[in-house]
Amino acid sequence: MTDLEKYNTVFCESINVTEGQLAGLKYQGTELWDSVGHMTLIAALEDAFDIMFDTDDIIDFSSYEKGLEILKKYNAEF
Amino acid sequence: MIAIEKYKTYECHDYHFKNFIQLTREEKIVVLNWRNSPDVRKWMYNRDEIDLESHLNFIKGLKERDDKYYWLVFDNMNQPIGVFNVVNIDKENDIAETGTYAKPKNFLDSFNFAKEYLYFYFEVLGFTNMYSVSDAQNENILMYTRFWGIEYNRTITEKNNDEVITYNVCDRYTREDYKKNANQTIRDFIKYIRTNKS
Repeated sequence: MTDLEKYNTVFCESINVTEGQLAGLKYQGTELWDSVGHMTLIAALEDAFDIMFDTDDIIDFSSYEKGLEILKKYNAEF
Repeated sequence: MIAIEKYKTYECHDYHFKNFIQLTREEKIVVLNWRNSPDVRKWMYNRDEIDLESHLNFIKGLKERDDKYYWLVFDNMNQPIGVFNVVNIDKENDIAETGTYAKPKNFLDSFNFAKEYLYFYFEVLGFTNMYSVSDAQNENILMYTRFWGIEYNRTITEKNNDEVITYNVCDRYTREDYKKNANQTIRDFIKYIRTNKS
């Protein structure tokens, strides 16, 4: 599984969206991506990529695309 | 004995708590729009929409009340981020029921707002005990409140129109309980979610 596939799978499972809904998706843009959903997503990404986000990155993680950008800092390849 | 100043805007770290009776008409309308939004009122005791006149009369009535206080909370950019209220105040026993709803613009606001209103209640207003009630279906608020150490010890049911609603009740959350959890961070919350989210 590529890092992109892993990222998309975690995203879809954590906040209950389909892959087709990911592009352009923003924090609070869907019912489950609220504050608790955000932490669920962060925890699942940390587990999947075996990383620990800096607090600033957790806060900056405001959209699907921003998440891709942030994960590159942790050596994910997209 | 608890003494709350109605006409004081309380400064609290990066936030300030402005009593409803001091709000401008525009700010009162912001509160009403939040209160009437479906995602907020679905968790209220009274889930009906409120009209502007009733809302303004309610706020006007607060000037004469010493058993309930409502604040609009502003962040350090002077943007309103939520409402915090203290009702059913029992000054002799130093306990009250708290309520809140928030319209945060980002995750950090949500986390900090929860942290801040507890600080405000215990350390600024000076209460030593808190009574807390949350809709048993509101998983997010239950997750947040339990993270801060609020333990629900019983349930009650109330009828809203034709719907029977179950609430979780915490009869006593103390300042000591709060202090044990007060320094928790976002990382602690992630750890908590990982352990407790089904």
